[in-house]
Amino acid sequence: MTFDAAKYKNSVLVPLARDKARLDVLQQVIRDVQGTVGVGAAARLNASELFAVEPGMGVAELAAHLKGLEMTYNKQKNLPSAGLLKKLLDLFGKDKVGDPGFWAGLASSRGQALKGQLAEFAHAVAEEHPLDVVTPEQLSEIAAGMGLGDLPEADLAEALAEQGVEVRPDFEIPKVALPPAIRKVTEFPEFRTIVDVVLRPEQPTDMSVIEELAFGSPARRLEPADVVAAKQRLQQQEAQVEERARQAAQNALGALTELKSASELHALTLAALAGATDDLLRRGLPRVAVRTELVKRGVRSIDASRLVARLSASTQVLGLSDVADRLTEGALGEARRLLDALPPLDGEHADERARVTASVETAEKKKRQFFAQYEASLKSRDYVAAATALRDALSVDSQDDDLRGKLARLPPLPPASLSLRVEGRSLEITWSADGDDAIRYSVVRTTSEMPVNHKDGDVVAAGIQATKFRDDMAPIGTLVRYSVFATRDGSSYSDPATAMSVVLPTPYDFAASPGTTDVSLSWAAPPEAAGVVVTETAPDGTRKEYRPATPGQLAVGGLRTGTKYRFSVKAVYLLAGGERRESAAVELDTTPRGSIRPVDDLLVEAAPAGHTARWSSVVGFTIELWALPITADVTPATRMTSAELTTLSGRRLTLRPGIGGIGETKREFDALPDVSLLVPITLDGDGGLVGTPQVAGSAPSVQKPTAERFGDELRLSWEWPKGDYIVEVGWRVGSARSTKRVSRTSYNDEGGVRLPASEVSGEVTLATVVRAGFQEWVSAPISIPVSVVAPAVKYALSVKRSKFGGKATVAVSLESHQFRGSVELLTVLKEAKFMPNASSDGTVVDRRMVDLSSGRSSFSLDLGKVVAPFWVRVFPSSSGVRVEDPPTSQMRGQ
Amino acid sequence: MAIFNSTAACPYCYTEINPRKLAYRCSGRHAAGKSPCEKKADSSRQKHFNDSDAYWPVITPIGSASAHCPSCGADPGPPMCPECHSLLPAEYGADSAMIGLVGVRDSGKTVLLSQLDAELQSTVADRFDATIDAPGGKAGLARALRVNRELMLKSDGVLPAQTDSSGGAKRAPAVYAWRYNRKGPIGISRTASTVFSFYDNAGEDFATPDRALSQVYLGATSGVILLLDPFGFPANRERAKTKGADVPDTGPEAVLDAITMVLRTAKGVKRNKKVKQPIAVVISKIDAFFDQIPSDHPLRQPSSSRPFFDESESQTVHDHVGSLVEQWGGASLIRKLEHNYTTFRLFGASALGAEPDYRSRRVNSRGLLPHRVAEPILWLMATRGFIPSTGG
Repeated sequence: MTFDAAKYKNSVLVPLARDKARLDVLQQVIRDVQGTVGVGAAARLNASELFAVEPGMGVAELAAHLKGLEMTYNKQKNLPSAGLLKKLLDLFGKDKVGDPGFWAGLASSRGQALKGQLAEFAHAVAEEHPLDVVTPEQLSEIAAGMGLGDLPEADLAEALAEQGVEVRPDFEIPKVALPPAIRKVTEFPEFRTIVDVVLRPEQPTDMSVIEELAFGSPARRLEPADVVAAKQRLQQQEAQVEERARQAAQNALGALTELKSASELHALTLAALAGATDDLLRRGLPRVAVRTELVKRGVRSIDASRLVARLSASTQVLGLSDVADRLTEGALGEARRLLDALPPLDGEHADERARVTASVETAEKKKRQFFAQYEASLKSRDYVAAATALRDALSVDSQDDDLRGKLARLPPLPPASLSLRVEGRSLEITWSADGDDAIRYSVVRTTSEMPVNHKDGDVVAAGIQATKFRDDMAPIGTLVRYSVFATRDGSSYSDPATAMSVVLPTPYDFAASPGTTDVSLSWAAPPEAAGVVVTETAPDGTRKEYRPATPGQLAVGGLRTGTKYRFSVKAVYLLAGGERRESAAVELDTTPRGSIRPVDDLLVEAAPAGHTARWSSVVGFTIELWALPITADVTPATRMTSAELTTLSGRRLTLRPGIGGIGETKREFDALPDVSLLVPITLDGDGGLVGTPQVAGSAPSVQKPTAERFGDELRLSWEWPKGDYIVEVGWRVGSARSTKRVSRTSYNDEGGVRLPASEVSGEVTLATVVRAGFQEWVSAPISIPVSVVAPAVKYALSVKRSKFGGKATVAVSLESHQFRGSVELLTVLKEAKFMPNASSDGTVVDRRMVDLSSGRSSFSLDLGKVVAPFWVRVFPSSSGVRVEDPPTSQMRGQ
Repeated sequence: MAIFNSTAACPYCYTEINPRKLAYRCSGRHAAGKSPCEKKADSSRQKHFNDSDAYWPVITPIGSASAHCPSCGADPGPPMCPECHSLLPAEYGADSAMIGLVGVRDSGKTVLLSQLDAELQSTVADRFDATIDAPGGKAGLARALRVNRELMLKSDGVLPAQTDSSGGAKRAPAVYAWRYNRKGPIGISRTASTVFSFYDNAGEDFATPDRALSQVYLGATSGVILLLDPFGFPANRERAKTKGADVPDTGPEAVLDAITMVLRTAKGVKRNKKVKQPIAVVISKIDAFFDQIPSDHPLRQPSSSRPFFDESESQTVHDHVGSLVEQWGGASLIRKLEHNYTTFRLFGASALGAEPDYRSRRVNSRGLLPHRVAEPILWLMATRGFIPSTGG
């Protein structure tokens, strides 16, 4: 195998040059080889590795290898390792190194040498670490320092084990806040650790505390359930533990109760032990002594060693200034303990220790004074002052759990704002809390004196947290006193808050049955009542009292129908000593009246100021009129509430009184803005019975009604109201009345409404018709005056003109069906293209009285000589008659 | 063969056409194997009515109803005017009547036509048991007339706006087809039908003779309804001012002169001859004078509902209206009518029936109350012998 110089440099020379410890060892070996030890000193080295000589090399191969080594050493002179190895190789001598047997001998002697090295190493470590424990990091460091860095850790650990030194990993102290109660409890000799508190009376030894919290054989872990059991055990075995220790144990267990898992318990215990170890170390105790102390407290030796080793590295020794600091922080007890534990330190000034000692004593004196005030106040039952004194003492020594416990055990203040309220046959007691959730209350009922303590009387409630209590068994008709005590711990109670009351139950099942002028009342009275008082109150405020002889009922007569009366009933009680007391009143309103019925004969009429409504009176009941949309669906004789009527968009009409007949009610109300369904409601409570509704209201009338004659027709026209309406036209034909309904469309198509003029006599009326579904309503009609037309006289003409001479004659025939009598007529002649418009528009050729008593008449006229074309036309001399012209063909002469 | 060469005016463009030589469009239903035609703008429609819609092509040569589209082989569509390419109603024939409605501005032509449109299809149709339709009534003047009436019928109805002057542009007239059973002399009924159309011009078109001459369509009319505003007569001018009505700038006689000139020119009537076209002279807005006319006056008689035209009653009204016109200072108008027209008749009518608010141009709040609106057209139809008349 060819020597690889580069590989040898990188794998051997360079690493060795950088490893100072190995270089030192190499130098030592060189020195030893040069000294008396000789070549055998090289057994400490792993020569095969250093010189890269492999087993099985032949002579020639070894020679070539050595040659390569030499060349490499020469070439790498700048590396110290190369120089040293070259020197060693030279010291071996060329004869030896060229012999493969030499290298085999070195390898076999190396194993023996290594054992000696390890023993030396282990011994040194054991002396350096009296706690007999090192961490793997420490082990590596020491081994490297002793040139054993290349040995496996297991070999090193094995060597250490032979010296009683264990290799254990480092660990972290849990960063857990230690409750004062946990610190406090271990001050008592009964409890070495908090494990003792939990397992009392058992005191385990050889506890594993670092990796886990376990004890016993087989190993058992500490669980939260153990804490619960410990609390119960402590309560059951109170007498077996000194009181202060017990109290401290209770507090500690209380703090432990908040831990929910074994790991939390482990962390807290380890932290507490670390704290204790730290305290011990700070007092300057030797580490081995501290370990011994921990072992005494039940900690397994190796864990105790690890704890001490772990903490000793960072623990500082405390001094007098720490005592002053604790005093300033209000930790008097700790200050005292530290002061007592501190041995005189090097360089310590005697005055300083005296001054610190004086400060501690002053604080202790102050605390004693506060405590004395507390005791004095307690005796005088001035709990407020006692609490103040305790709080002052705690300000001096805040870590004194005993003071804290006393403060907690002080009785609370009496409950405030106590009030009693009677509810039927029960009595409710209420009071106010002072904000302390730990306070519980006891309620004591007495009928005579105030109770002297929380058990003096009928304890109706105990240990309740609520601030009210309902006593359903309160004595009836008896003056009773209720006292409420407050307590925190169930042993010391506050002074009582008291109040007195008497339970006077009211009568019940109070009912009234009204007649027309009377009312029958009934009720039930509590059996403890001596009687009842019934009071009648009329609307005008007058009162009457009745003391019914018959239990539970009373008939009251002479009442006014339809008037609402209020009746109240109170139970009468006779208290001890003969005092007479009345309960609260139970009231009801009732109205004497007849039987309820719906209004079924509502009549609504138009009135000048609106509308008038009439109906048969329903004795004793009020009738309301509701206006609903005309499309609303209501069923007569059913019951509807005001809310239901309102939901149907109904509104209550305001009715004014009117004068109705006997047995009839008449009311007036304002004109309705539209057509509505008027629903009478017979009131009975909220709502009432629905009566038979009527459609009423007002719809807009037509405007500008006009009647015009057009020949034989009467043309009616008007301005339509806005909206969808129909108009009903009414007229009289003789004595009969005719109507015609006209829609807007037909009106438009026909160009108004046309009636035969001859049919219409008198006025024509127009009414607006509103239709909604099957409902229909016709407004009050308005009249259109139709002018009286003068009776008509018809005439016919026969005009003749002689073609020769131009003389003309006219024969006039008159006829009238409407006129009887005489009328003066003018015959007018006009010789022109256009016919005469009036009697003045031509020549009056004849004026005569015509007798039409028979309905007919005629006459002839000689017109004389006329020029064609000419016109003959007859006019009346007055407006008494109308003269209807014949066709113009008769009037024109040619 | 003159009967086969007789012509009648197209009811849309008033061009004299031979009803037997009408035009047809391609129906668009192309024959198998042929490419379909495409709709295109029709230059004739554009020229006459400014109609730029796309239509199927016109089949050429014109005049053969059996011809198929030479391009796509499709059947022909319904007949139409070979000049303006308007579809002709089935009732169209040589006896169809074209009626011109003329009058000065604000004389109430559009209002009267709007009401007449409604009455023709309701009361007149009822009276004669006829069907009177307006083909294509959803467009053109017929549609405008219906819209006008609906607007007037509203509660705050407004009068139609002034009709724009036609100028050189064309407006499609309102065309009606009338069909009914006419009893013959021996009681045998036969179906009679005709087409008549109204052309509504703007009043300004007759303000001067020059402008009136542009209304060449009048030459093709078979009758004219001349609407005269009663407020235009001298005696009524003060009354018009009192009521807030506009006094026409052009007097009744001037209008008559203009139209007479047009008709004489169009028909080539010699000076010593009279125009043969019947002319119905309607005094509109007669409701404004109801206070002067007694209720039993013939002019206030409602229209007859009997299924014939009462010539005697019409003549009576004519005489009474003539008397009124004379009274209002219009005697010369009557004389001009007598001297220029063979047949004329005076009418009094009111399309509104009740006086509007002349200033705000709002219909009377009592609505439309028309009076004797259809009498002139009925007279013209009776004159043509299309409806029976009696009492003459």
